[in-house]
Amino acid sequence: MRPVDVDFIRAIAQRRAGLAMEGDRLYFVESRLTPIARREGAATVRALVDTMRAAPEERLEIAVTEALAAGDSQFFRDRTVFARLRDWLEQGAADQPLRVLCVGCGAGQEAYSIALTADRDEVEVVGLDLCSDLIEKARSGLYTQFEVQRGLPIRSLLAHFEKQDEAWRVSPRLRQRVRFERANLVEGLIDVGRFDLVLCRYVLPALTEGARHVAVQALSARLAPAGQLVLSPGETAEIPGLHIVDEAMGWHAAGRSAKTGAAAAA
Amino acid sequence: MSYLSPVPRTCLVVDDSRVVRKVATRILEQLHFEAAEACDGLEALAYCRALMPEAILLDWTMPGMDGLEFLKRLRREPGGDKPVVIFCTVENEPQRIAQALEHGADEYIMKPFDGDILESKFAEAGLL
Repeated sequence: MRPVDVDFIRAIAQRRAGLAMEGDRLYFVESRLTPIARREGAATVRALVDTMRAAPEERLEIAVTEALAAGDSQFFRDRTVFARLRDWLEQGAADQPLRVLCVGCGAGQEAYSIALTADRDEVEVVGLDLCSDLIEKARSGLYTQFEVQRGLPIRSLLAHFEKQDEAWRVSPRLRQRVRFERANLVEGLIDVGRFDLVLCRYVLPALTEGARHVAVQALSARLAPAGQLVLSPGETAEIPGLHIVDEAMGWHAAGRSAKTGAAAAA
Repeated sequence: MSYLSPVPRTCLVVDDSRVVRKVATRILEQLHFEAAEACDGLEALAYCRALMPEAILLDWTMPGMDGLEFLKRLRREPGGDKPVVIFCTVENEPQRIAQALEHGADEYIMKPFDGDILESKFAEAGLL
């Protein structure tokens, strides 16, 4: 792969999904695209890129973009954030229905972690990701022994997973409260309704400034009245109609903060 | 060590494999634990009677006294309820895991493991 090939691929990923991909990513791009090249019968990634340049095909552009966007994930990433989420999810009435949207859910660990945190049938979780392979895995709820040992307490594993050969599958009861859809944040979100809580963690930093703006607009438009938006730890955004609740957790809430409200009144 | 450094906490690694003990010790040192080693339950029990460690990383199948038997006895020792016990074994059947938890294990690692898993489980058990 030559730098000019990386630039070609980078432009596709930016156009299709708003991926920023700065700096020298040659090795990264090459390793992510190798399985696609193999599947397409191309001898090398460079040969794959040559084919894509000669005869652009939407199917391949999407495959390449998804491969570059695929994120790693784990259960209960950022323990303190989940402790706070537990408090928030439990403060409402126990029988009050709650809808949670998990954007950039990868292979589903975060969406299932939310469902485990609010373990009652009235809490519905929707996970969205750009990568169809990851969405498929998330729907299957099947994880390797390595994956279930990253962030997941052993008691949760025993209570909510079933062992299948050497892998572990999320129990049907938990799975029926979580659903997954493929979605592209910058193309405008598919209509999945409004949510009391929207998580979009470790997603926006990978996007261009323009794409980030579009994404944040799309996310805040999905918030129900008094909805909460949680970004990555330390990540904040100036969003009309939202205020920052906890900067370290990237936590935002709809409406004005008490402080801003008082200042406005004065 | 500077006098400002906190006193390192001890984790006893109980495993009949010398290789596993070495690997675990290296990871534990990165997590700022001082590692001690025992090659079976009996040796581990003798260690604990002399000095209760803060944490115990415990294999199941070992010649001599196995991990589960050690755990049962440890929990009856004076001060034996204190150490955080994390099983670390190839046993991965749900019934076996449940059995370990019933007898007082705090967390459970299924081998093979790496630094990420060990760190994740130590955090889960409140050790980090």
